[in-house]
Amino acid sequence: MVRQVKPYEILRQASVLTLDMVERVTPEDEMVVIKSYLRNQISALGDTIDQAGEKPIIGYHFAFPGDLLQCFDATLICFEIVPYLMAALLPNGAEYFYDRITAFGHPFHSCTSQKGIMGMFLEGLVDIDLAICPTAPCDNTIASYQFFSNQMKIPVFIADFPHYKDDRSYLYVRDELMRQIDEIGKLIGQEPDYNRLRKALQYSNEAYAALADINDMRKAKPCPIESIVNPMITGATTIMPGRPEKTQFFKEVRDLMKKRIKNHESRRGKEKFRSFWPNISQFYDMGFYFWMDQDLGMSQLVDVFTYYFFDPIHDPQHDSVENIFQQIAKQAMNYPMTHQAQSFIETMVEDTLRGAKEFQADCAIMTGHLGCKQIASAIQIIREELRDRLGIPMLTIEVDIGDKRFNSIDAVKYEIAEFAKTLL
Amino acid sequence: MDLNELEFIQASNTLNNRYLNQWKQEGKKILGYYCSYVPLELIHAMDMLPFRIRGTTCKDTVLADAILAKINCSFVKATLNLALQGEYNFLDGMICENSCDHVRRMIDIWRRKVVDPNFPLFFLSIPHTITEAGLDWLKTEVNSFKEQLETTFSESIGDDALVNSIQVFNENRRLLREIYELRILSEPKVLGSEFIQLIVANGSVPREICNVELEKIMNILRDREGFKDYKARLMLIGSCVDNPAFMNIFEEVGGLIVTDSLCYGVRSFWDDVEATVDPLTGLINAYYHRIACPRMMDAHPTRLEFVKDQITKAQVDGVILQRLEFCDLHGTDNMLLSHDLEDLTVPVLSIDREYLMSDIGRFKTRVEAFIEQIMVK
Repeated sequence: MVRQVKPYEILRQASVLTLDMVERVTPEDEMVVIKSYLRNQISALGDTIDQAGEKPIIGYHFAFPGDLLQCFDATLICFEIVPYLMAALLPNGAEYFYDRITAFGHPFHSCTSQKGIMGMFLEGLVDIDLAICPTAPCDNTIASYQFFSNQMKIPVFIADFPHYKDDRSYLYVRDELMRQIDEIGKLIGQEPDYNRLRKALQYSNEAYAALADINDMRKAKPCPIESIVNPMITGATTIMPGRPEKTQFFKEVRDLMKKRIKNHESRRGKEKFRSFWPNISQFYDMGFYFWMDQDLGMSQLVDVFTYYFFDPIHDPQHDSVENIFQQIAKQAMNYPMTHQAQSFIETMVEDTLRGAKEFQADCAIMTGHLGCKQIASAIQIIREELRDRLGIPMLTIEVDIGDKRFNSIDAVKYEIAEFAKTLL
Repeated sequence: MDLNELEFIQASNTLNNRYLNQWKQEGKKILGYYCSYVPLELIHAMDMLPFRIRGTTCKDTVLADAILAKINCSFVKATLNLALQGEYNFLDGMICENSCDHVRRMIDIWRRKVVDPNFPLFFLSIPHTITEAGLDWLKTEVNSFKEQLETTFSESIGDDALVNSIQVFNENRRLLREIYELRILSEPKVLGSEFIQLIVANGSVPREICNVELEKIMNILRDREGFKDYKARLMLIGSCVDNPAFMNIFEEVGGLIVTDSLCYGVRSFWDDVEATVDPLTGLINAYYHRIACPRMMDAHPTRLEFVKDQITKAQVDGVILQRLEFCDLHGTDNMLLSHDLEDLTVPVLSIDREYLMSDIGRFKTRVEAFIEQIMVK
């Protein structure tokens, strides 16, 4: 049987075309972040696609620690990022697939990150051996993976994540991860290769170290990097787990920022406002970020997917497997969105307050993403906390991260521009 | 006899009721809970009354709308609105769970917006999968909840008290199952709307009183003539329904809701708690392995079997799959069930609704058309 990783093939082709266009119309030192991201994405996707015919294919949820799956000689596909990267790279994104699954009876208000891939399954674009997910960070995950197991009849492995962030929870998740890896190994007929895992963790350690530097430098005024780096960090984090391309991309961004700071250079556009985004930013219009930086003069400093901190895996080359699992469990519980959403509201409030303060934000902009009910119920409290404790105003914009039809980008721009006037 | 004449049944129409007032006058406490995964027997064994939080009497959600977003569940909004209005001031504590994305935020919001810092709030983190490890996790959770209850209210829960509570609740479930048998007769003696009232009242009154009242109701129903004048026997599945008026929509156009798969319905009394040497372990085991709602990721096959079994038992002509708007869990589960049932050639009607019943005319038209389709078949 021909193995189906068509979504990745679509993304690769779209990335190649986009990179080609960007390279042809811009000088070498322009749009450096975009070029770096696309090159690394093309490499990672190409490698994945090339392997797909020979190896087991594992679909994984964005909040499952993808690094861990590198212990198998397998092709890895991140489900949730596919529709959003399509939204970024293709004129109509994954809209056809959202409509396909909605017509099948799926609720329109569920998260497009899963709706897109569900629609692709219905269209026969994906043929995989198994899927794996955590029970975090939201109901969309819990609901939609039941579609894969019960409707598409794909073996779905589930790692249960509790509601707390404490040692008991980390131990529980460690055991869940160990159990799932063991079960997957049995299904695909492979013993986990922990040397492969150790190598992947080394890459990820380097990537997270670079990201920490990036985030430190983003505190500078004016912010030395373009706002568009946010969706790209999200893309790299999710689609390149334990891969050298993720490390490479983060390092290139870090080096660019260092150079700019050293040379007293800045990104294009004068920074007038600094905005902190407590939820994920949108993917369906990349031009929006140029408008933010260059027309409005507002930096998008960080969002929920780019403002994260992991303790590195202590000693991936020598630490015991059990210890490594323990540390991965902790990282997984503190993964973007899982950290904020899979716990009491204080985590999200404290993250937002700390981030807004550290990055010297003038304001916060919350995307009320249609799928994110767990965040929707926290928005008002976060807004009040920012106002009362830091005197920072927050704007909420209703969007769907990956579907331009929900709220047009012009309407979003208008709302932000009007909000910006109140900051002057 | 119209069951609505009974004071016990009237307890379903309000939040507070005479039984609760009497309970409080006796110096006893009431603990509110949101989800059917809370082991009620444990609360009962503390000589406290577990009261299921619901949206009854809510007219609008103006106060809750200022806190929650429009994509949040209207049932949860209704309960929050009532709490903000002070309608839940009779509670002495509240336990919340990670049931779904809407409910789990209630502990955060109650803490900040509804109650003072000394008000006892408890939380249970319930696994989303049914495994041995999950069961162990839940045991620790429930044990911790037990300890917190004991500390907060300066009482201890002995095994004897727990065994007694399990017996009281098992008897309660047995009585509800007997009444359920009268609901699935060819000429049912109890309407779906009455049955929901009965279940709601059952969650709002001390269980010992419930058991006495349910016996009385059973005797009344046995003597009652069965309903013959209906067009179709329906099963109701999906989001939480605590409002009998929702059932009336179907009954008014000739559809009898003869069974259901609802957390406020048949699933709530289907399985007993087994008597075990260690009563707490038996209790946790029973709640964990009950017929689950879609918050449990690996339970769809069991739920489907339950639905199929009910369709056969209650001679169901058609299934109504309903969900509260913005409920991702039931939304997806209903999608799966609609295709499962289609394969079994069971007629299905899928609807979405708001808790405050703003769209009754449209529902009636759709239900009428659905019943006509069934009759043509």
